[in-house]
Amino acid sequence: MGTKEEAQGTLSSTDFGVSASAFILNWNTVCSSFPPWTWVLSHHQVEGYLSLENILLSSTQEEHGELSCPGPGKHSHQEDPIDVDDATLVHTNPCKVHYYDLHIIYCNSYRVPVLYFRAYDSDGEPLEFDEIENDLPAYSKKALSDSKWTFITQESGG
Amino acid sequence: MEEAQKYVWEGAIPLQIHLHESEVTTLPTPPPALILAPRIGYLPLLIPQIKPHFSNALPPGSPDTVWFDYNGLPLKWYIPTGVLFDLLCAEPERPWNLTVHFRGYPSNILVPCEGEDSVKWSFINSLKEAAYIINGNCKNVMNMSQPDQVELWRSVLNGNLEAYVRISSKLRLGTVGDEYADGGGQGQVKTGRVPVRLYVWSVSEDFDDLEDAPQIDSWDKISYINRPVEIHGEEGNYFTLQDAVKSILPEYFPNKSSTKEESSRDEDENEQTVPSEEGEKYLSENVDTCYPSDNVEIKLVRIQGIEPKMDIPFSWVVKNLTNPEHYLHICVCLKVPQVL
Repeated sequence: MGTKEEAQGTLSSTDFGVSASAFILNWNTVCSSFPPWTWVLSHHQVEGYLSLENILLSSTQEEHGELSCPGPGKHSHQEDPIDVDDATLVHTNPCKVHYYDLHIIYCNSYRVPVLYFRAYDSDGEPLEFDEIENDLPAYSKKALSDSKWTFITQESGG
Repeated sequence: MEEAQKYVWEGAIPLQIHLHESEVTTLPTPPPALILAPRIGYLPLLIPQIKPHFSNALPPGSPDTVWFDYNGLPLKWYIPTGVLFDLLCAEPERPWNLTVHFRGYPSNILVPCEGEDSVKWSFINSLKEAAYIINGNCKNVMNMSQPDQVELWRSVLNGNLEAYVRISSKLRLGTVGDEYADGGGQGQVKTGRVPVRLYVWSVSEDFDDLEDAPQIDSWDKISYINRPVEIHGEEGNYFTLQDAVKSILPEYFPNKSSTKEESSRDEDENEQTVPSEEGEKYLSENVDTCYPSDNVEIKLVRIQGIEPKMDIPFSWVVKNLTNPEHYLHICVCLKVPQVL
Protein backbone atom coordinates (compact mmCIF):
# COMPACT_ATOMS: atom_id res chain seq x y z
CA MET A 1 0.00 0.00 0.00
CA GLY A 2 1.31 3.41 -0.92
CA THR A 3 1.70 5.94 1.87
CA LYS A 4 -0.61 8.36 0.10
CA GLU A 5 -3.42 5.84 0.27
CA GLU A 6 -2.72 4.99 3.88
CA ALA A 7 -2.82 8.66 4.76
CA GLN A 8 -6.19 9.09 3.12
CA GLY A 9 -7.53 5.89 4.59
CA THR A 10 -8.15 4.41 1.18
CA LEU A 11 -6.98 1.20 -0.41
CA SER A 12 -6.70 -0.22 -3.90
CA SER A 13 -9.02 -2.96 -5.04
CA THR A 14 -6.13 -5.41 -5.12
CA ASP A 15 -5.29 -4.62 -1.52
CA PHE A 16 -8.94 -5.09 -0.67
CA GLY A 17 -8.72 -8.63 -2.03
CA VAL A 18 -5.59 -9.34 -0.04
CA SER A 19 -7.03 -7.88 3.14
CA ALA A 20 -10.25 -9.84 2.66
CA SER A 21 -8.36 -13.14 2.55
CA ALA A 22 -6.49 -12.17 5.69
CA PHE A 23 -9.77 -11.23 7.34
CA ILE A 24 -11.31 -14.60 6.50
CA LEU A 25 -8.33 -16.43 7.93
CA ASN A 26 -8.34 -14.40 11.11
CA TRP A 27 -12.08 -14.74 11.56
CA ASN A 28 -11.99 -18.50 11.16
CA THR A 29 -9.23 -18.71 13.73
CA VAL A 30 -10.52 -16.29 16.31
CA CYS A 31 -14.27 -16.68 15.84
CA SER A 32 -14.40 -20.34 14.95
CA SER A 33 -17.72 -20.83 16.71
CA PHE A 34 -19.30 -18.34 14.34
CA PRO A 35 -20.29 -19.16 10.78
CA PRO A 36 -17.52 -18.36 8.33
CA TRP A 37 -17.31 -15.45 5.95
CA THR A 38 -17.05 -16.48 2.33
CA TRP A 39 -15.50 -14.75 -0.64
CA VAL A 40 -17.88 -14.45 -3.55
CA LEU A 41 -16.78 -13.64 -7.07
CA SER A 42 -18.91 -11.42 -9.22
CA HIS A 43 -18.66 -9.49 -12.46
CA HIS A 44 -17.25 -12.38 -14.36
CA GLN A 45 -14.64 -13.31 -11.81
CA VAL A 46 -12.92 -9.95 -11.74
CA GLU A 47 -14.31 -8.48 -8.57
CA GLY A 48 -15.20 -10.19 -5.34
CA TYR A 49 -16.80 -9.43 -2.02
CA LEU A 50 -17.11 -10.88 1.46
CA SER A 51 -20.38 -12.46 2.40
CA LEU A 52 -21.96 -13.65 5.65
CA GLU A 53 -25.61 -14.48 5.32
CA ASN A 54 -28.58 -15.47 7.41
CA ILE A 55 -27.00 -14.43 10.67
CA LEU A 56 -29.10 -14.26 13.79
CA LEU A 57 -28.12 -10.95 15.29
CA SER A 58 -30.60 -10.35 18.00
CA SER A 59 -33.69 -11.69 19.59
CA THR A 60 -36.02 -10.66 22.35
CA GLN A 61 -37.41 -13.97 23.53
CA GLU A 62 -39.58 -13.19 26.55
CA GLU A 63 -40.70 -16.04 28.76
CA HIS A 64 -39.76 -19.13 26.90
CA GLY A 65 -36.44 -20.88 27.12
CA GLU A 66 -35.16 -22.30 23.91
CA LEU A 67 -34.97 -20.25 20.76
CA SER A 68 -36.75 -22.22 18.14
CA CYS A 69 -37.37 -19.90 15.24
CA PRO A 70 -36.03 -21.13 11.93
CA GLY A 71 -34.27 -18.80 9.52
CA PRO A 72 -36.47 -17.52 6.72
CA GLY A 73 -36.29 -19.41 3.52
CA LYS A 74 -35.36 -22.60 5.24
CA HIS A 75 -38.91 -23.62 6.07
CA SER A 76 -41.91 -22.19 4.38
CA HIS A 77 -44.22 -23.43 7.11
CA GLN A 78 -43.82 -23.87 10.84
CA GLU A 79 -43.65 -27.38 12.22
CA ASP A 80 -46.96 -29.21 12.58
CA PRO A 81 -48.52 -27.59 15.65
CA ILE A 82 -49.80 -30.92 16.92
CA ASP A 83 -46.23 -32.00 17.61
CA VAL A 84 -45.39 -28.89 19.57
CA ASP A 85 -45.75 -28.76 23.32
CA ASP A 86 -48.85 -26.78 24.20
CA ALA A 87 -46.96 -24.56 26.58
CA THR A 88 -44.84 -23.04 23.85
CA LEU A 89 -47.77 -22.42 21.50
CA VAL A 90 -49.12 -19.63 23.62
CA HIS A 91 -46.77 -16.71 23.06
CA THR A 92 -47.64 -13.42 24.60
CA ASN A 93 -44.94 -11.82 22.50
CA PRO A 94 -44.06 -13.15 19.08
CA CYS A 95 -40.56 -14.36 18.62
CA LYS A 96 -38.55 -11.29 17.68
CA VAL A 97 -35.51 -12.44 15.87
CA HIS A 98 -33.59 -10.33 13.46
CA TYR A 99 -31.59 -11.85 10.64
CA TYR A 100 -28.91 -10.12 8.67
CA ASP A 101 -27.11 -10.74 5.42
CA LEU A 102 -23.78 -8.94 5.52
CA HIS A 103 -21.70 -8.11 2.49
CA ILE A 104 -18.42 -6.23 2.47
CA ILE A 105 -17.84 -4.80 -0.97
CA TYR A 106 -15.09 -2.65 -2.40
CA CYS A 107 -16.33 0.76 -3.44
CA ASN A 108 -14.53 2.06 -6.51
CA SER A 109 -15.65 5.63 -5.93
CA TYR A 110 -14.45 6.12 -2.36
CA ARG A 111 -11.80 3.38 -2.56
CA VAL A 112 -12.84 1.85 0.72
CA PRO A 113 -14.68 -1.28 1.79
CA VAL A 114 -18.38 -0.71 2.41
CA LEU A 115 -20.66 -2.82 4.57
CA TYR A 116 -23.98 -3.61 2.94
CA PHE A 117 -26.58 -5.43 4.92
CA ARG A 118 -30.10 -6.76 4.58
CA ALA A 119 -32.12 -7.02 7.77
CA TYR A 120 -35.23 -9.14 8.04
CA ASP A 121 -37.42 -10.95 10.54
CA SER A 122 -38.26 -14.62 10.75
CA ASP A 123 -40.86 -14.27 8.02
CA GLY A 124 -38.34 -12.81 5.66
CA GLU A 125 -39.97 -9.37 5.86
CA PRO A 126 -37.53 -6.45 5.79
CA LEU A 127 -37.04 -4.74 9.13
CA GLU A 128 -38.07 -1.15 9.71
CA PHE A 129 -35.31 1.37 10.02
CA ASP A 130 -35.80 1.96 13.73
CA GLU A 131 -35.62 -1.77 14.42
CA ILE A 132 -32.25 -1.82 12.68
CA GLU A 133 -31.13 1.20 14.65
CA ASN A 134 -31.86 -0.65 17.86
CA ASP A 135 -29.63 -3.49 16.77
CA LEU A 136 -26.66 -1.23 16.21
CA PRO A 137 -23.81 -1.10 18.71
CA ALA A 138 -23.81 2.01 20.90
CA TYR A 139 -21.05 3.86 19.09
CA SER A 140 -22.76 3.43 15.74
CA LYS A 141 -26.03 4.67 17.13
CA LYS A 142 -24.29 7.76 18.41
CA ALA A 143 -22.59 8.34 15.06
CA LEU A 144 -25.99 8.28 13.38
CA SER A 145 -27.17 11.20 15.47
CA ASP A 146 -23.89 13.12 15.30
CA SER A 147 -24.22 14.62 11.88
CA LYS A 148 -26.62 14.59 8.99
CA TRP A 149 -23.82 13.06 6.95
CA THR A 150 -23.38 9.92 9.05
CA PHE A 151 -26.23 7.76 8.04
CA ILE A 152 -27.24 4.46 6.63
CA THR A 153 -28.37 4.68 3.04
CA GLN A 154 -30.69 2.33 1.29
CA GLU A 155 -29.40 1.07 -2.00
CA SER A 156 -29.74 -1.65 -4.47
CA GLY A 157 -26.93 -2.40 -6.80
CA GLY A 158 -26.01 -4.63 -9.70
CA MET B 1 -20.50 24.12 -24.02
CA GLU B 2 -23.54 26.02 -22.78
CA GLU B 3 -25.54 24.93 -25.85
CA ALA B 4 -25.16 21.23 -25.25
CA GLN B 5 -25.93 21.55 -21.57
CA LYS B 6 -29.14 23.41 -22.46
CA TYR B 7 -30.20 20.62 -24.79
CA VAL B 8 -29.55 18.06 -22.08
CA TRP B 9 -31.61 20.00 -19.54
CA GLU B 10 -34.42 20.52 -22.01
CA GLY B 11 -34.48 16.88 -23.03
CA ALA B 12 -37.75 15.20 -22.12
CA ILE B 13 -39.56 11.93 -22.65
CA PRO B 14 -43.26 11.94 -23.48
CA LEU B 15 -44.94 9.47 -21.13
CA GLN B 16 -48.33 7.86 -21.39
CA ILE B 17 -49.17 6.60 -17.92
CA HIS B 18 -51.83 3.97 -17.38
CA LEU B 19 -53.35 3.05 -14.05
CA HIS B 20 -52.85 -0.63 -13.34
CA GLU B 21 -56.06 -2.49 -14.16
CA SER B 22 -56.27 -4.09 -10.71
CA GLU B 23 -56.62 -0.65 -9.19
CA VAL B 24 -59.31 0.74 -11.42
CA THR B 25 -62.66 0.96 -9.66
CA THR B 26 -64.62 3.13 -12.06
CA LEU B 27 -66.19 2.56 -15.40
CA PRO B 28 -65.08 3.60 -17.95
CA THR B 29 -61.40 3.15 -17.15
CA PRO B 30 -59.69 6.49 -16.71
CA PRO B 31 -57.74 7.64 -19.75
CA PRO B 32 -53.97 7.53 -19.45
CA ALA B 33 -52.15 10.60 -18.19
CA LEU B 34 -49.87 12.29 -20.72
CA ILE B 35 -46.80 13.81 -19.16
CA LEU B 36 -43.58 15.26 -20.50
CA ALA B 37 -40.91 13.94 -18.14
CA PRO B 38 -37.53 15.70 -17.97
CA ARG B 39 -34.69 13.35 -18.87
CA ILE B 40 -32.63 14.57 -15.93
CA GLY B 41 -35.53 14.11 -13.51
CA TYR B 42 -36.89 11.14 -11.62
CA LEU B 43 -40.23 9.37 -11.84
CA PRO B 44 -41.41 9.91 -8.22
CA LEU B 45 -41.17 13.66 -8.83
CA LEU B 46 -44.00 13.35 -11.35
CA ILE B 47 -46.41 11.89 -8.83
CA PRO B 48 -47.96 15.25 -7.87
CA GLN B 49 -48.97 15.63 -11.52
CA ILE B 50 -50.18 12.08 -11.94
CA LYS B 51 -52.08 11.45 -8.72
CA PRO B 52 -54.90 13.97 -9.25
CA HIS B 53 -55.49 12.48 -12.67
CA PHE B 54 -56.35 9.09 -11.20
CA SER B 55 -57.62 9.92 -7.72
CA ASN B 56 -61.26 9.40 -8.68
CA ALA B 57 -60.62 5.93 -9.99
CA LEU B 58 -58.65 4.63 -7.03
CA PRO B 59 -60.17 2.32 -4.46
CA PRO B 60 -60.81 3.89 -1.05
CA GLY B 61 -58.27 3.63 1.74
CA SER B 62 -54.83 5.13 2.09
CA PRO B 63 -52.55 4.28 -0.79
CA ASP B 64 -49.17 2.67 -0.54
CA THR B 65 -46.05 4.16 -2.05
CA VAL B 66 -46.51 4.92 -5.74
CA TRP B 67 -44.43 2.93 -8.20
CA PHE B 68 -44.13 2.45 -11.94
CA ASP B 69 -43.52 -0.45 -14.25
CA TYR B 70 -42.63 -0.85 -17.90
CA ASN B 71 -43.87 -4.10 -19.42
CA GLY B 72 -44.07 -5.60 -15.96
CA LEU B 73 -40.60 -4.52 -14.87
CA PRO B 74 -40.76 -2.34 -11.73
CA LEU B 75 -38.77 0.81 -12.39
CA LYS B 76 -35.97 1.82 -10.04
CA TRP B 77 -36.86 5.28 -8.89
CA TYR B 78 -33.34 6.57 -8.30
CA ILE B 79 -32.29 6.14 -11.92
CA PRO B 80 -32.91 9.31 -13.97
CA THR B 81 -35.93 9.02 -16.26
CA GLY B 82 -33.89 9.53 -19.41
CA VAL B 83 -31.53 6.71 -18.45
CA LEU B 84 -34.42 4.32 -17.79
CA PHE B 85 -35.80 5.13 -21.23
CA ASP B 86 -32.48 4.71 -23.02
CA LEU B 87 -31.84 1.46 -21.24
CA LEU B 88 -35.20 -0.27 -21.42
CA CYS B 89 -36.41 0.91 -24.81
CA ALA B 90 -33.89 -0.34 -27.33
CA GLU B 91 -36.17 0.96 -30.02
CA PRO B 92 -37.40 4.28 -28.57
CA GLU B 93 -41.12 4.19 -27.96
CA ARG B 94 -42.93 7.52 -28.16
CA PRO B 95 -44.92 8.09 -26.10
CA TRP B 96 -43.40 5.72 -23.58
CA ASN B 97 -46.16 3.60 -22.09
CA LEU B 98 -45.77 3.08 -18.37
CA THR B 99 -48.08 1.70 -15.73
CA VAL B 100 -48.57 3.43 -12.40
CA HIS B 101 -49.45 1.58 -9.20
CA PHE B 102 -50.73 3.00 -5.94
CA ARG B 103 -50.57 -0.33 -4.12
CA GLY B 104 -48.47 -3.41 -3.71
CA TYR B 105 -45.04 -1.81 -3.60
CA PRO B 106 -42.58 -4.54 -4.63
CA SER B 107 -40.13 -4.15 -1.78
CA ASN B 108 -38.23 -7.23 -2.84
CA ILE B 109 -37.20 -5.41 -6.00
CA LEU B 110 -37.36 -1.71 -5.18
CA VAL B 111 -35.81 0.05 -2.21
CA PRO B 112 -38.28 2.13 -0.21
CA CYS B 113 -39.10 5.59 -1.46
CA GLU B 114 -40.63 8.33 0.63
CA GLY B 115 -41.40 10.70 -2.20
CA GLU B 116 -39.42 13.80 -3.04
CA ASP B 117 -37.23 13.61 0.05
CA SER B 118 -35.85 10.19 -0.83
CA VAL B 119 -35.10 11.33 -4.35
CA LYS B 120 -33.42 14.48 -3.09
CA TRP B 121 -31.16 12.56 -0.72
CA SER B 122 -30.29 10.05 -3.38
CA PHE B 123 -29.33 12.97 -5.61
CA ILE B 124 -27.21 14.68 -2.95
CA ASN B 125 -25.46 11.41 -2.11
CA SER B 126 -24.58 10.88 -5.74
CA LEU B 127 -23.34 14.45 -5.95
CA LYS B 128 -21.17 13.86 -2.89
CA GLU B 129 -19.77 10.67 -4.40
CA ALA B 130 -19.07 12.47 -7.67
CA ALA B 131 -17.31 15.28 -5.78
CA TYR B 132 -15.14 12.71 -4.02
CA ILE B 133 -14.24 11.08 -7.31
CA ILE B 134 -13.38 14.37 -9.01
CA ASN B 135 -11.69 16.27 -6.19
CA GLY B 136 -10.56 13.53 -3.83
CA ASN B 137 -12.81 14.89 -1.12
CA CYS B 138 -16.42 15.97 -0.72
CA LYS B 139 -15.95 18.95 1.57
CA ASN B 140 -17.55 21.32 -0.89
CA VAL B 141 -20.77 19.33 -1.01
CA MET B 142 -20.90 18.60 2.71
CA ASN B 143 -20.27 22.25 3.53
CA MET B 144 -22.98 23.60 1.26
CA SER B 145 -25.20 26.00 3.13
CA GLN B 146 -28.77 24.92 3.69
CA PRO B 147 -30.20 27.60 1.36
CA ASP B 148 -27.71 26.60 -1.35
CA GLN B 149 -28.67 22.97 -1.02
CA VAL B 150 -32.35 23.82 -1.28
CA GLU B 151 -31.77 26.05 -4.28
CA LEU B 152 -29.64 23.45 -6.04
CA TRP B 153 -32.28 20.80 -5.60
CA ARG B 154 -35.01 23.19 -6.65
CA SER B 155 -33.13 24.07 -9.80
CA VAL B 156 -33.02 20.39 -10.73
CA LEU B 157 -36.69 19.91 -9.84
CA ASN B 158 -37.72 22.82 -12.03
CA GLY B 159 -35.18 22.32 -14.78
CA ASN B 160 -33.74 25.75 -14.14
CA LEU B 161 -30.28 25.57 -15.69
CA GLU B 162 -29.35 29.16 -14.85
CA ALA B 163 -29.98 28.72 -11.14
CA TYR B 164 -28.21 25.37 -11.24
CA VAL B 165 -25.05 26.77 -12.82
CA ARG B 166 -24.98 29.59 -10.29
CA ILE B 167 -24.91 27.21 -7.31
CA SER B 168 -23.01 24.28 -8.76
CA SER B 169 -20.10 26.38 -9.96
CA LYS B 170 -19.31 27.02 -6.29
CA LEU B 171 -18.73 23.30 -5.93
CA ARG B 172 -15.84 23.38 -8.39
CA LEU B 173 -16.65 20.10 -10.01
CA GLY B 174 -15.16 20.71 -13.42
CA THR B 175 -13.18 17.71 -14.59
CA VAL B 176 -10.92 17.20 -17.56
CA GLY B 177 -9.87 20.22 -19.50
CA ASP B 178 -11.56 22.50 -17.04
CA GLU B 179 -8.71 23.13 -14.67
CA TYR B 180 -7.42 25.77 -17.04
CA ALA B 181 -10.77 27.39 -17.75
CA ASP B 182 -11.42 27.52 -14.03
CA GLY B 183 -9.03 30.44 -13.63
CA GLY B 184 -6.77 28.35 -11.41
CA GLY B 185 -9.58 27.88 -8.90
CA GLN B 186 -7.89 27.84 -5.51
CA GLY B 187 -5.32 25.33 -6.64
CA GLN B 188 -7.65 22.39 -6.44
CA VAL B 189 -5.93 19.39 -7.91
CA LYS B 190 -8.10 17.17 -10.00
CA THR B 191 -7.77 13.46 -9.60
CA GLY B 192 -8.19 12.62 -13.27
CA ARG B 193 -11.14 10.45 -12.33
CA VAL B 194 -14.56 10.88 -13.89
CA PRO B 195 -17.80 9.68 -12.25
CA VAL B 196 -19.52 7.18 -14.52
CA ARG B 197 -22.46 4.86 -14.05
CA LEU B 198 -22.61 2.13 -16.62
CA TYR B 199 -25.73 0.09 -17.34
CA VAL B 200 -24.74 -2.97 -19.31
CA TRP B 201 -26.98 -5.52 -20.95
CA SER B 202 -25.59 -8.37 -22.97
CA VAL B 203 -26.89 -10.31 -25.91
CA SER B 204 -25.45 -13.51 -27.24
CA GLU B 205 -27.10 -13.28 -30.62
CA ASP B 206 -26.72 -10.49 -33.08
CA PHE B 207 -29.62 -8.33 -34.13
CA ASP B 208 -29.77 -5.81 -36.94
CA ASP B 209 -32.88 -3.96 -35.94
CA LEU B 210 -33.32 -2.50 -32.52
CA GLU B 211 -36.88 -3.77 -32.63
CA ASP B 212 -35.50 -7.29 -32.56
CA ALA B 213 -33.41 -6.65 -29.47
CA PRO B 214 -34.43 -8.89 -26.62
CA GLN B 215 -36.74 -7.34 -24.04
CA ILE B 216 -35.26 -6.65 -20.62
CA ASP B 217 -37.66 -8.35 -18.23
CA SER B 218 -35.56 -8.44 -15.09
CA TRP B 219 -32.95 -6.27 -13.42
CA ASP B 220 -30.78 -9.38 -13.22
CA LYS B 221 -30.16 -8.94 -16.93
CA ILE B 222 -28.52 -5.57 -16.34
CA SER B 223 -25.09 -5.06 -14.86
CA TYR B 224 -24.98 -1.79 -13.03
CA ILE B 225 -21.38 -0.66 -12.76
CA ASN B 226 -20.54 2.34 -10.62
CA ARG B 227 -16.87 2.75 -11.46
CA PRO B 228 -14.93 5.94 -12.22
CA VAL B 229 -13.03 6.30 -15.47
CA GLU B 230 -9.39 7.32 -15.06
CA ILE B 231 -7.82 9.69 -17.55
CA HIS B 232 -4.10 10.30 -17.45
CA GLY B 233 -2.27 13.43 -18.49
CA GLU B 234 -1.56 14.06 -22.14
CA GLU B 235 -3.35 10.87 -23.00
CA GLY B 236 -6.49 12.81 -22.09
CA ASN B 237 -6.51 14.54 -25.45
CA TYR B 238 -6.77 11.31 -27.39
CA PHE B 239 -8.91 9.38 -24.95
CA THR B 240 -12.08 8.40 -26.75
CA LEU B 241 -15.49 7.29 -25.56
CA GLN B 242 -14.57 3.80 -26.69
CA ASP B 243 -11.41 3.87 -24.57
CA ALA B 244 -13.44 5.02 -21.59
CA VAL B 245 -16.09 2.30 -21.86
CA LYS B 246 -13.48 -0.42 -22.33
CA SER B 247 -11.45 0.84 -19.40
CA ILE B 248 -14.31 0.25 -16.99
CA LEU B 249 -15.10 -3.19 -18.34
CA PRO B 250 -11.80 -4.98 -17.71
CA GLU B 251 -13.61 -8.30 -17.51
CA TYR B 252 -14.50 -7.97 -21.19
CA PHE B 253 -11.62 -5.80 -22.36
CA PRO B 254 -8.51 -6.73 -20.38
CA ASN B 255 -6.02 -3.92 -20.01
CA LYS B 256 -3.24 -4.35 -22.49
CA SER B 257 -1.09 -1.39 -21.46
CA SER B 258 -0.29 -0.51 -17.88
CA THR B 259 -1.75 2.97 -17.72
CA LYS B 260 -3.58 2.59 -14.42
CA GLU B 261 -1.96 4.03 -11.31
CA GLU B 262 -2.01 0.66 -9.56
CA SER B 263 -0.29 -1.07 -12.42
CA SER B 264 3.12 -0.89 -10.80
CA ARG B 265 1.85 -3.07 -7.99
CA ASP B 266 -0.76 -4.98 -9.96
CA GLU B 267 0.03 -7.89 -12.22
CA ASP B 268 -3.04 -7.62 -14.35
CA GLU B 269 -6.57 -6.54 -13.38
CA ASN B 270 -7.89 -10.02 -13.99
CA GLU B 271 -5.61 -11.68 -11.49
CA GLN B 272 -6.64 -9.69 -8.49
CA THR B 273 -9.12 -12.35 -7.43
CA VAL B 274 -6.37 -14.75 -6.34
CA PRO B 275 -4.54 -12.71 -3.74
CA SER B 276 -2.72 -15.38 -1.75
CA GLU B 277 -2.03 -19.07 -1.41
CA GLU B 278 -4.03 -19.62 1.76
CA GLY B 279 -6.78 -17.33 0.53
CA GLU B 280 -7.34 -19.53 -2.46
CA LYS B 281 -9.16 -22.23 -0.62
CA TYR B 282 -11.77 -19.71 0.47
CA LEU B 283 -12.44 -18.49 -3.02
CA SER B 284 -15.26 -20.00 -4.93
CA GLU B 285 -14.40 -21.83 -8.09
CA ASN B 286 -12.35 -19.53 -10.30
CA VAL B 287 -13.67 -20.49 -13.68
CA ASP B 288 -11.58 -19.23 -16.50
CA THR B 289 -14.03 -16.98 -18.28
CA CYS B 290 -11.76 -14.33 -19.64
CA TYR B 291 -13.31 -13.05 -22.82
CA PRO B 292 -10.76 -12.14 -25.45
CA SER B 293 -11.57 -8.68 -26.66
CA ASP B 294 -12.06 -9.85 -30.25
CA ASN B 295 -15.20 -11.75 -29.36
CA VAL B 296 -16.86 -9.04 -27.33
CA GLU B 297 -18.49 -6.31 -29.32
CA ILE B 298 -19.92 -3.02 -28.13
CA LYS B 299 -23.20 -3.01 -30.01
CA LEU B 300 -24.79 0.13 -28.65
CA VAL B 301 -23.80 3.06 -26.48
CA ARG B 302 -26.43 5.56 -25.51
CA ILE B 303 -25.98 8.73 -23.49
CA GLN B 304 -28.77 11.29 -23.03
CA GLY B 305 -30.67 9.55 -25.78
CA ILE B 306 -27.95 9.92 -28.37
CA GLU B 307 -25.56 7.35 -29.76
CA PRO B 308 -22.25 9.16 -30.12
CA LYS B 309 -19.52 7.95 -32.45
CA MET B 310 -17.20 5.79 -30.41
CA ASP B 311 -14.15 7.83 -31.38
CA ILE B 312 -15.57 11.04 -29.96
CA PRO B 313 -13.20 12.57 -27.38
CA PHE B 314 -14.32 11.41 -23.96
CA SER B 315 -13.63 14.83 -22.47
CA TRP B 316 -16.32 16.35 -24.71
CA VAL B 317 -18.82 13.75 -23.56
CA VAL B 318 -18.00 14.46 -19.93
CA LYS B 319 -18.25 18.20 -20.30
CA ASN B 320 -21.55 18.17 -22.12
CA LEU B 321 -23.59 15.08 -21.35
CA THR B 322 -23.38 14.65 -17.60
CA ASN B 323 -26.40 14.77 -15.35
CA PRO B 324 -26.82 17.47 -12.68
CA GLU B 325 -25.26 15.27 -9.99
CA HIS B 326 -22.14 15.19 -12.18
CA TYR B 327 -22.46 11.58 -13.14
CA LEU B 328 -22.23 10.41 -16.70
CA HIS B 329 -24.83 7.66 -17.23
CA ILE B 330 -23.95 5.36 -20.09
CA CYS B 331 -26.17 2.57 -21.41
CA VAL B 332 -24.21 -0.13 -23.16
CA CYS B 333 -25.28 -3.21 -25.05
CA LEU B 334 -22.58 -5.84 -25.46
CA LYS B 335 -22.59 -8.79 -27.72
CA VAL B 336 -20.77 -11.58 -25.94
CA PRO B 337 -20.04 -15.13 -27.02
CA GLN B 338 -22.38 -17.66 -25.46
CA VAL B 339 -20.92 -19.02 -22.22
CA LEU B 340 -20.83 -22.80 -22.55
